[in-house]
Amino acid sequence: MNISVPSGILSRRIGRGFKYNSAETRLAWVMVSPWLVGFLIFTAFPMIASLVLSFTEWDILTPPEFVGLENYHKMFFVDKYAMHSLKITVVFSAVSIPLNIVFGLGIAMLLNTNIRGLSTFRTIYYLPAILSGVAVALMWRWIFSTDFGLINAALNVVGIQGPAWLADRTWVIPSFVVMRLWSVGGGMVIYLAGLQSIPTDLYEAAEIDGANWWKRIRHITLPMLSPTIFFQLIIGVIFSMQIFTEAFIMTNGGPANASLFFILYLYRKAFQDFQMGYASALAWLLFVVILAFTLILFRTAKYWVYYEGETEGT
Amino acid sequence: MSRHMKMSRRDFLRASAAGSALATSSLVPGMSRVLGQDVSEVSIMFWDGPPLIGIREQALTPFDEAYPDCRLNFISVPGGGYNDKLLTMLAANEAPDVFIIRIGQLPEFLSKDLLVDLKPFIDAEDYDLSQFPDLAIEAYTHDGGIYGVPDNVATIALFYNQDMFEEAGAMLPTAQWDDEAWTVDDFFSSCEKLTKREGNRTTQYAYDVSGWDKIWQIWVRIFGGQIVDDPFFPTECVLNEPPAVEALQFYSDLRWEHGFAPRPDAMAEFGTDTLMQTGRLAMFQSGSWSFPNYRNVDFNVALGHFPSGKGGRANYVFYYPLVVPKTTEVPQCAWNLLKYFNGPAMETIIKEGGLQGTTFSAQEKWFVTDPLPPANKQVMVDAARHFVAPDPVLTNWDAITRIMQAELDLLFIGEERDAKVIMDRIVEQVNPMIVEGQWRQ
Repeated sequence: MNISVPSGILSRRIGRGFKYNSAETRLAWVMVSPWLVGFLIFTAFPMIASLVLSFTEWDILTPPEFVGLENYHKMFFVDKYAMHSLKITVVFSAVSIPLNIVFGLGIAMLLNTNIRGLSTFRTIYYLPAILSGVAVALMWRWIFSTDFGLINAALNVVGIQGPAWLADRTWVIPSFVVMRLWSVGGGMVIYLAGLQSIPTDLYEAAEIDGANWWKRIRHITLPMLSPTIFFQLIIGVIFSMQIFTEAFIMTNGGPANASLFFILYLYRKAFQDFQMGYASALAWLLFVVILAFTLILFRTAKYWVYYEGETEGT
Repeated sequence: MSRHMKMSRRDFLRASAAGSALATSSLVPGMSRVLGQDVSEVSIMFWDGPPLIGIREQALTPFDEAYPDCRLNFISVPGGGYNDKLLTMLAANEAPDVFIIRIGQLPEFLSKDLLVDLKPFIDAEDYDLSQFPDLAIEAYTHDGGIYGVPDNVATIALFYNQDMFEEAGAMLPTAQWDDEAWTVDDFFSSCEKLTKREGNRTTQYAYDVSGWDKIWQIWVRIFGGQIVDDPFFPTECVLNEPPAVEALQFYSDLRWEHGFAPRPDAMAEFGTDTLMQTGRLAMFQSGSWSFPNYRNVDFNVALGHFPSGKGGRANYVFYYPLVVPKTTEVPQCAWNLLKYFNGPAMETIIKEGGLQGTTFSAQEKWFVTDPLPPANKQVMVDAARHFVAPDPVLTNWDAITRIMQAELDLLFIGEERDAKVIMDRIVEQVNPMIVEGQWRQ
């Protein structure tokens, strides 16, 4: 059904722009004001404050002292742990995000079929996504136990002696990657929604044309799902770069700083060393890094993200 | 006359405003003083979780009766939120009148001149400071002022399974500080006897080589080494000098060379208590907070001192201070509260809270006489009396410790085996930080 708006009304409204004295506009502002006030007080103001603080030395106990770009100089050229923690966070994200997408998508495709107990399977896979981060971290500490953990017990069955996952610098980051895979259920639900919105007639047409399973995936499923994958990729970057709880609970950055993720380091600087100014600068560095990755992904999107109804050149 | 009094809208608004003001006033610190005229509210903040926090509160409840001019406001922020909360309160000039801090934080607070000097109160009442370890009081002292009193004077002892020692024919850790026996060699010999192997598998370990910084620091001192050149006025880290290197090599080798100790991941996963309780570990180190885990075990557990070496016998003493911020409006009540805490409240805190206590007299009276296991509790009190080295007084000592710990992790997890190489790296990183952390001449 089409709803037509008389062109005269539309042009009149647009032509007038916002009319602050109209009851309708006032009501709109009233309705939006809780969010607006919340945004200004709890998001905009702290962000601006932290930007200002990043140019100061502030220990909370005494007033901030302006130090110009010193904090930024320190993080790039003096403090080796800042760059170390950023590096391992980026490495973790670079491995974790693609794996999460592949596993999440794979499970979603498996659960997008008509099998018995489908809703039960979906619930089981989704459950980890809603569990508390602390509880999950504690559980995984046990799973990674060298002598009595589930993973090493399974490896023992096939004659492999598992490593000291959380106590070995080589294995600690892969351990976090594996742990993150456990909660792919959150992404799976989104992929499922995306999969179910793909028109079935596309598959039927492809089948009639003789397309096999792989061709249907490659030429229909993945292109049609690319906006969902793109969304998950952006969310994954933001989420992975801010990993904290797991490291704080399971390793506290160890062994030998091998799991000193960026937010954990920032937390230490802010709340253990009283270096709020420096911690603010670190926070802005992370913001810029995440923003840069996000912008790069947006720039690449035109090469691989396909929106339904979009035609070439639009 | 109507049974219901009619209230006009104006009256209702007035009554509401008055009620709101009253309710708000009860939430505003200090307002009670205005309202209560001659009763001053004094707040104290601790970081413990249950059950200790409840015991502390119970122990301090009679304070209001002992000092009718003061009224206690007990604040509890258990766990990791304590520091955040304290900093926020300090930033807002709403800090509690008395609060606990880590000893590593004290120089930062002193360098910012944030704390009340307690010496005038101490002098006015001739308060007996000899009941506390001298070095603790010296650590709280700056420029002639005294800026804290202990929250708890706790030490670390060797906990050992006496049955295992006797079965192995191993020398028992001594319970006498000045015992000439129980040297590093005796300790090593006991470890050899206590470690049991079946083929490639170790079924019983002698000792826990803990990565805990307090423990490796004790071993450094046993071998005659030090962490820094002068703990009160540190100028450089001396961990790369031969005694410290020898100590840390010896300590690490107990695990990786001799196999006397379980791997670090096993310790992290199960904890020493599980290994001790299941008969797979003969000896580890801890404080009085571990006592409850050994109340009902089916073996005899006792406490002993660390062995003595070229540097004599050593231990570590916790002496976190209770301090009073300069923002307090009730310094006299804050002082009264500190006295009450270290006086009448201490009996409950020791007997029910299981803490070692603050004053030596209270420790002797209630801590040592506790009949429950483990045996030889006098060991911990003696260790407190022989407090050998305080934490270096630097504004960034906690950050320096983390740097040291990250490097030492490599030694303790066996990834690197040469202590000298690691100590050189530590000194190189830490020395510039020591310069940054110096705050007094």
